[in-house]
Amino acid sequence: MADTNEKKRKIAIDDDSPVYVDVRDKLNEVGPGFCLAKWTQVTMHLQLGHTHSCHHPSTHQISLKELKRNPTALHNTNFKKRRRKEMLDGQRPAECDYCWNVEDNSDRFSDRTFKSGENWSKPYMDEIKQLNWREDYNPKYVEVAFSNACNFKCSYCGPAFSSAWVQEVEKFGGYPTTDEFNDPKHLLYENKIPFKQTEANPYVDAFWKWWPDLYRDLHTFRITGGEPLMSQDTWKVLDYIIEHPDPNRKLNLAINSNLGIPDKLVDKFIEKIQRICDEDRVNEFVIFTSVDTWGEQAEYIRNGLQFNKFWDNCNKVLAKCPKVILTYMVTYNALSVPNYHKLIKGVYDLKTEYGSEDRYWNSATFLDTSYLRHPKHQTVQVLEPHWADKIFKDAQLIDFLGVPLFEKEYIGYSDVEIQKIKRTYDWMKSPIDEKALQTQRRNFGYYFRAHDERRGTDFCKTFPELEEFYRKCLEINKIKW
Amino acid sequence: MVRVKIDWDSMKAGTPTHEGGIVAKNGRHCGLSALKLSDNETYIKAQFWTWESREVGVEFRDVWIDVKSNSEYMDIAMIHDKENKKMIIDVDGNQKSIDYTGEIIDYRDSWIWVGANNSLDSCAPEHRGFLFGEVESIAIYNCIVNTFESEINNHLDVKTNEDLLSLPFNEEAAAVYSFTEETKTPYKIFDISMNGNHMILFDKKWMAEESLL
Repeated sequence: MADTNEKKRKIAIDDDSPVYVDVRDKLNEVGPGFCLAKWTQVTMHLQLGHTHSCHHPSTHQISLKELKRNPTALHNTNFKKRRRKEMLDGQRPAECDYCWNVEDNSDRFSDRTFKSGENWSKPYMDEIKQLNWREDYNPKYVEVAFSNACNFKCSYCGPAFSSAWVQEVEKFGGYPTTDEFNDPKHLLYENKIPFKQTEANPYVDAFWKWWPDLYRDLHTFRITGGEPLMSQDTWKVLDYIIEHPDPNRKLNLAINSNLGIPDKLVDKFIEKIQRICDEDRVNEFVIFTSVDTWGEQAEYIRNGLQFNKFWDNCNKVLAKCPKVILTYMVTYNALSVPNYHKLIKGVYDLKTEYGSEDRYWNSATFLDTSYLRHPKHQTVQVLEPHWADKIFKDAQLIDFLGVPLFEKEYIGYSDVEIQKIKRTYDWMKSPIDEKALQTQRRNFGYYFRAHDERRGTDFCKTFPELEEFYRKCLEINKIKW
Repeated sequence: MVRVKIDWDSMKAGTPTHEGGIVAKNGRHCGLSALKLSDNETYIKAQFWTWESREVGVEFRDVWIDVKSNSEYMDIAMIHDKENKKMIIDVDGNQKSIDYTGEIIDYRDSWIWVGANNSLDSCAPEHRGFLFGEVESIAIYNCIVNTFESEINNHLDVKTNEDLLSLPFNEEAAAVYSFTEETKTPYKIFDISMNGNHMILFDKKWMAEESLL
């Protein structure tokens, strides 16, 4: 009976899209590990001197030696070129295991298909297939973090991306988990000591050397952080675009912001956006913001967030910038589950209120749900299995609020937004080693107990639904391997 | 099971409007429909097709209940007693049944329509059977149950999307719908059995092959 119900559920939430089937098939013609994002997309963490293509693989260090003779080594590192070779040779690079997990545990499309199907990737498929793996390639979708300056210290983040986290671990050290979460010594081992904003940064210098050449051909440019609006380089990019006599009007410009910065900065940001959009200096302006659930629970996960202020700022941006799209990047973690439906409904209400033909898409907002993998103690997999039912219900809710067809005239959730919640359900249900699970549950308890002590928060008050689970986690003894 | 009010005045005997599908599977139509043969002859009909053998071929089966132009809400059920090869129609507690031989034909590839028998262009206009009336709620079960009332009452407290998520999984149901403000968007009706089979409003444009996602 259980098997039948499981099967029924799977069928009920299963979907297939001919568009993505076509992309997946074409990728597989080259190899089961082929993914265009390895060429077309890059995220450069200049505060660390690290880079990666696609968010899922870990970052790797950029060699200053390579960079000296070739500023494009911010993207085209020798390490990455070797991964490209693996893909062209029909192998699946180990660093891309996020997608292999999705593909091996479900019939869902992985991000390999989604990212290769994007219009900053798909048109270049034939060109990339023909390339020698050693060749430099100018990315079309570029993300850059100039600095780790940030006023938030989100529970799953760390000092490499948040100066607020740096201050905390300098004072208290790492967390009492088995992996000593965010212990400053890890930064040393991983070569991830961030440059301070006041220090000279050769990676930022290389970026500005490359920028005039890069800017012309860019499809999408996205500034991330830290909190980008706390970095002078972000404002420099905005002013460059505002002052350029012949701007790249095809550019899709995106800026990450926690929208939890002082009002003065929010207003200054809105002014720049209005100038850029009113003069049609870009094709599209998207703000990527982050929130992982609703209300106080969201504030707990993203320390520094004042939820109501944040939601007001979202409304302010959408009301004052009639062409802007606001995308919510969700790091879906164990603490997201109890109230996630409220966020689904909240974002749907914004879609309904601010949808208009002036925007690039009718939908003013998008909900991009990616499940957290690290730190492991905060993933949805640590939760008790019954929480999968809640995710299953959330998948039904977002499907219900979906559009029948992804065209401008319809307001609601798109297929991609829906699929990403469905696959979180699949991932939660995928097998996990029992011993590892107990370790991570213990870490969950110990992490949040220390979190409450250091930050004056109250886990049990904020998450009454998880109180019993939390207390059980604290009773788990350290597992000896 | 379905709770429905029929607008008999808008139906004209002797025209394609004389029969309206309430809930039906298309193909060789199977389901419940409202039927008007004259101003004094109004019926609720349960219909289906069976297959017995190559010699006998497919056979049409139906069973009717005279509803005497009742224009109030009626609770109607079409109950398949597979074990005893019997199809039962129930209108507000009045039942009639029909026995059959052979097997009911395979409807697995059919769509379930509400308010029509089949709205696709491939169906002849006289067989599309658009309904005049109001459907309030529908429940489709995998087994014979006696829980329609409680199932429908279950969601009366649904005032927000959050309430929808508090509904229990109903493993006996394939889909349950209630047509209220809280359970619908401009395009979909929520499946309150929590099986995820949300009903979608039909629009030819959404069915175009190139636009299917």
